[in-house]
Amino acid sequence: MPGAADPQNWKDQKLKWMDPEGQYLLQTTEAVGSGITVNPEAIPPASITSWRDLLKPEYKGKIAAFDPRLEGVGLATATYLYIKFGEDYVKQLYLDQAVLTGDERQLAEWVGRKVYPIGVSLVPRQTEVLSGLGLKFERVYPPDGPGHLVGGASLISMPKGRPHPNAGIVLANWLVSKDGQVAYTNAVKDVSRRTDVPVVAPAYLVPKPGLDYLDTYDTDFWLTVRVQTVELVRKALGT
Amino acid sequence: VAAPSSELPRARRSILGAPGFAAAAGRITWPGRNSWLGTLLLIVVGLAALVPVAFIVFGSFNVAPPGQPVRLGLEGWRQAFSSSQSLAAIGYSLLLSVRIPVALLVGLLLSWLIVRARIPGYPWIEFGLWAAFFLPSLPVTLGWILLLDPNYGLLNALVEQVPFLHARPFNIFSPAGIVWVHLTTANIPVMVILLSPALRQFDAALEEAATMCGASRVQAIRRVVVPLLGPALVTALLAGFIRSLEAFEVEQLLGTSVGVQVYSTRIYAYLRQQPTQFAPAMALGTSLLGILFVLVLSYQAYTTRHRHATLTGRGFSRRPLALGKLGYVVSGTCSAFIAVSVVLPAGMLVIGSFMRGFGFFDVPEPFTTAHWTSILRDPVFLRAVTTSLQLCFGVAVLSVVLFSLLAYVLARTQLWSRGLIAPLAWLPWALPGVLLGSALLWLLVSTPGVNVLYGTVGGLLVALLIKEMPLATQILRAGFTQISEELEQAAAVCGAGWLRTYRHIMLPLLAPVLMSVFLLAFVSSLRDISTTILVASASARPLSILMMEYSMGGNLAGATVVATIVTVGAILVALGARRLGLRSDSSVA
Repeated sequence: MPGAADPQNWKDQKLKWMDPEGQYLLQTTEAVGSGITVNPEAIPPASITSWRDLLKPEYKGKIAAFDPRLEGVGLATATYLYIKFGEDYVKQLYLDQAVLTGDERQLAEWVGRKVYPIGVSLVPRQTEVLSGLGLKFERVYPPDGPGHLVGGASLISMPKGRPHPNAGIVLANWLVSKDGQVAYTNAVKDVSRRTDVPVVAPAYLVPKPGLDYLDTYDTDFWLTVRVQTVELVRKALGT
Repeated sequence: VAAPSSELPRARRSILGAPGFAAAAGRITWPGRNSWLGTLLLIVVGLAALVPVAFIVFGSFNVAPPGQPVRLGLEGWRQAFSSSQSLAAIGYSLLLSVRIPVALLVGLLLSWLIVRARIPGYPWIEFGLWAAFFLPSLPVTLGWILLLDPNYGLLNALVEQVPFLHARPFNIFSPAGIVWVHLTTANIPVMVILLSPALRQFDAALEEAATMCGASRVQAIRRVVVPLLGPALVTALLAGFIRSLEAFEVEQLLGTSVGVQVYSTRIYAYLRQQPTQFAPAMALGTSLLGILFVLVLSYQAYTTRHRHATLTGRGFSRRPLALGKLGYVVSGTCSAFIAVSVVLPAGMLVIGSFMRGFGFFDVPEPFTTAHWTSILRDPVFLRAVTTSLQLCFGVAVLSVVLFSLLAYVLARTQLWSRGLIAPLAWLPWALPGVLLGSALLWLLVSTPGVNVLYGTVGGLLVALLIKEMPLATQILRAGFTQISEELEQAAAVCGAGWLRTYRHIMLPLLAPVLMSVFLLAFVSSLRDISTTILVASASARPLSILMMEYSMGGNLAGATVVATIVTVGAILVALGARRLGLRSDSSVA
């Protein structure tokens, strides 16, 4: 489609590919993945100025986190924290300080209801629903760990031997066009890498210029650093 | 009181298997010992049971990452069994399975009160237990969380108001909470569903004879009812134990936050890792196959030694036992149990579907009909209704037809392959649904000819039929075992062929059991998530998968709307089937 793949319409004036060859896996969205979510009615967001604050004794029993031993947002955050602060930090946070759950809805509800007013790895699709009911959430990005970048489920690839190749091409073209990205980001509340698509996602998901984010959808990170770190995280947490 | 079949004269026991018998009747001939039917059944059951098993056993030794060429090794086994979490998960699985004997005892008592004592209001108590089984586990567990959460549970808040108590005694996030949810919404109801038909085929005269000889009521149950119901009880115990190892959603929701992992959640955790850890997941799956193999061999040995016919040709008594005023007390207790275990969570389910946020009573304008309006207008929902109806009726009808034939072969004939088919028919039960689903997905995608089923209702039908085969076959087999062979022999002597005998003698006597199998298959298909989740597609997506998708997407209220519709639909089918079943039941009486 006209303009669909024009780099001028995309962040940093380039299409972002996740594969080393730069032709198989196109990433169309980019958002900030990890952070601390607090219930501001119980914990003043300004009181947390560093990830290391979470290890303070007064926060023990007040933190809930998505279980990093399961694949997904919990493991991604733990991997990021391992790279930033090392094994001891990850062990203390997840094994000593936090209560773990594998259910993202439960995690959001715990923070929203102030059962555990500090949450790690909360996902917007749950917090936004509860925010609509009047529950309070505020995302905190401490300066010593502004977060990592994720592409969610926005990667587009064309399987070999697909049944309707031309239909696949039409769909892929539409998905990377402005209309396709508007439709996609409206549905999943993600941040498009296209610069001409209005942002409908919560503001805390939008990457801020000048901050040192870890790009977890970078080819080298995904294929080497991540694999090694995930292994170390799992070993540290005893999976 | 009733002679074990093994004590019957050999000629009398094997008469149905002898080709000469049917030939003498001059009608339809039931195949003899060496018939082609034995080979055909062995191939069909073998394919259904062994292909997924072979995939899983092989997968436990294939240590190559997904998509890479096969590399054999023991790394998966080492990884699975050197992990402290896996060992703890196996320990918790065994610990939590203690609920099964408890459920069996309570289920037997309830079945006896319903069928033999016919306590006041027994039809509604039985119906309440059926309804409990129909409630989808995910939203019901959420309902229990709302009631028994240690921090904001409604019942805890109520108890806290009681003077001098001021405590929150309940904690649903605990092993006890997991056992409670399973007992009330699955284990006890399913025991009643399994044992009631067996008790209905039980000649009350046997129990009456015991009491006339001076036995107390408890002694009569212990010395007469329990031994004669042995095959049905052992089937229920074994089935319950195996299914307890597969239980997933409740443990995932209630156990993870307190460090309680079980066998199935551990497998799920391996499958969710990236790259997917197939080998250790399959190794855990294979080890369950080993446990099952030992249990099935023990079961075979038991049923060979204990073949009691409780339904003979000598007349049949169904006189209810008089409990007097005690009956009202017992009925009240049972009704209270139903109210707590069914009405309370079902009520939460219905209320939840009308809430702006599931369980949030303290927000402005907490109730709305918006979820119902949007779901009922959603074309995806309407397609899912059609898919579910096709699937559930298909699985239920085919289960009754195919597995009653299989059970008859196992219980009655002397076919050469019988001894091989019996353990094979149990095998799919050893596979957690998600592993069975992944094996079938692989089969559907990669097998020429079979791959036309991928993404269709047909593919889901095959998956669920394989899943239902063990329970349906064993329930029906226990039912056939309870019916004395002399009834068929009498029909044959009167000149009836096999088909006529089956239609006019066996089918009416077996109607309650067939109805149970129909309903179990129907409801299991309606509720199933773990087996179908990998095989379902956008063009063949049943209601249960749609419910899960809503739930995963944060639309819990939408999920409860679908869950309510699923529950109401299942109860309506149960009411209809129950009416038919009771009619058949009374016609036999």
